Amino acid sequence: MTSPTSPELESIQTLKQIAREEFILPGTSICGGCGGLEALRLAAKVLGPQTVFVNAAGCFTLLATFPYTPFKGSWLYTTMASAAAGAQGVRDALDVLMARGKLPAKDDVEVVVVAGDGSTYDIGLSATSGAIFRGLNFWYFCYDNESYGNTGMQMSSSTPYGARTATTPVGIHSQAGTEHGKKDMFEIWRAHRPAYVATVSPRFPIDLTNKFLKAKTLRGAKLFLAHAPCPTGWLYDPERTADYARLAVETGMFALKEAVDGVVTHTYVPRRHRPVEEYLQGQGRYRHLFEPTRNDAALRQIQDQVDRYWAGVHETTGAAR
Amino acid sequence: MLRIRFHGRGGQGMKTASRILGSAGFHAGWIVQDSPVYGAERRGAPMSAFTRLAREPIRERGVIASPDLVVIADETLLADLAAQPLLGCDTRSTVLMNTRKQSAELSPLGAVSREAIFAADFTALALETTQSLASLSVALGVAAARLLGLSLSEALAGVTDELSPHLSAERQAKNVALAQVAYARAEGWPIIQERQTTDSPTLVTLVEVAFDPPTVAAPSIYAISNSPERKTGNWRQFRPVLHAELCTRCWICFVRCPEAAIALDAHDYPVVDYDQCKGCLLCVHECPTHAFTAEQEVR
Repeated sequence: MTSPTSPELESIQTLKQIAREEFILPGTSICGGCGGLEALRLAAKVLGPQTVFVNAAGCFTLLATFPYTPFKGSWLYTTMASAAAGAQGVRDALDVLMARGKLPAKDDVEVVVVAGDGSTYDIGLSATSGAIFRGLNFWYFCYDNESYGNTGMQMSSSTPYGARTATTPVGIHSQAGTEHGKKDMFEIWRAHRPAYVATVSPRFPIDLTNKFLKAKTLRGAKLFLAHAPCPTGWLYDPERTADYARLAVETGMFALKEAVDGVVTHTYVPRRHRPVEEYLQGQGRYRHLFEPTRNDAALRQIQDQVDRYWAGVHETTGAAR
Repeated sequence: MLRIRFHGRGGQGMKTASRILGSAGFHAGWIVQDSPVYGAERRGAPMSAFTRLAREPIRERGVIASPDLVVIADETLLADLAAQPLLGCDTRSTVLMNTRKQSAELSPLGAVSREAIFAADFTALALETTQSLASLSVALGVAAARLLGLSLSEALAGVTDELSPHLSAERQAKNVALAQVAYARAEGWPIIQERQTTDSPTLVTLVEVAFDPPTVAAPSIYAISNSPERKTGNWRQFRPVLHAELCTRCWICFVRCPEAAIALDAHDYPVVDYDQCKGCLLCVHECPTHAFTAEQEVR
């Protein structure tokens, strides 16, 4: 299948190499300023029209609300737990049809799971683990807004330490809000040794596009965690979605990386990381760390965790700090 | 009983407005009830909320079909089939509308006479006083309280009850200031009286929904990319306007727009699809040369 973005290119270097054509059209019920939609839209420009999105229940349920669809390709809706199982069914059906000569190879489609972090990190992890284990040839796109956003911002196992959610309110016994740390889904996926795992950010569209282009050449499970700033749930003005996506990377809180056959490469390492506070401040979900009194202990804990992560990265790569 | 229905868009604070009014009514000694209703969608999409104030225990539940007062946060809802804010209004209903127009400029709304439409630019009041559109909740909740004859102190008690405890002291103070301005703005408007009726809710027969096999009950869409027919442009409160002379054709707005509502023309200038743009203003914020400005919608 040819890539709409760059039929002949393996990678792009400038924004102007991103496809003009849209594959997810407007008119959906997704909130204005959705970081997850921005990432999926860019991904779809590489994936092209011959796709079937297998969508776990979540915010992106709202992409296709009867009788409307934004997709040029197909869309199948599943429960939160079974998107990867749905992908297996679709992939198998396509393979069987092709084997029987009932579907010409040129009409084959890419099978793409689209799931939020609630489905990816919690409810659907088992089905995904099974699909990767079986070597299923499919894509997995997780729009990670670090909470159960569609039901009103409850904590998921992707919610980072210190964020306030509907189920981890700030109180006398929990001054940080969420006390748990974010689950490391990249490493959990990588431990399965899939063909490809990557993190992507909508604010780094060239990096995102190149990762999808690279995955296109690979067979097997191709898994993506997309940082998805969420104005509705993280409580900031929608116009600032790209700001927070950028700051997450520049503070080192969200690492842009990929793993091919298990070997990790960081695709963008800022020369000097900004303090995490620049990312946290301004998001309503972290306001309690700054007001009415500063929670220095919690802020230090977040900074320390980021510093430890990057110290480990620099140690393994031998890169100068 | 006084029945008040709020219409807004997700993010405009009409759920909070209905709660402010309910709390204010409670402080004034009424028995109160409030509840919102949403579709599957949120920020920008039409929603409504209901407040009931009564002297007797309230046995009614659910949507308010015949409102005494309808509060409309966003004029664009009038033309929105998903909102229909005037549904069920009769000649005794009152409308409180957030608009830049003066009451006198408004034409009659359905069965509601021009004399029963009260309008003010609460958006401007909110932006001046708190610099936050979310404060419309305070402005309209308090103005509605005034229309129902509640005192300023009762209205302020409602605001204090319902403001998020996560707001900073400065924002709390600004919201209280806005409440006072909004209350003053509504002074001089006549007070809505309780209807002297003994209407009891009509009983309706329950509709039994029969089981359909999944092939019938599960909706299938055979169209390709027909979502633009929905025209989400009416979600917008501010529109991005391009000043082409400043545009360097860098593609950033086109690449960043989550909605795919910005296309590039043959010369790489961005073209905003105003039928679809939800008004997130990412393009305004991201444009390196400030070639986009945000302009308040007037429809």
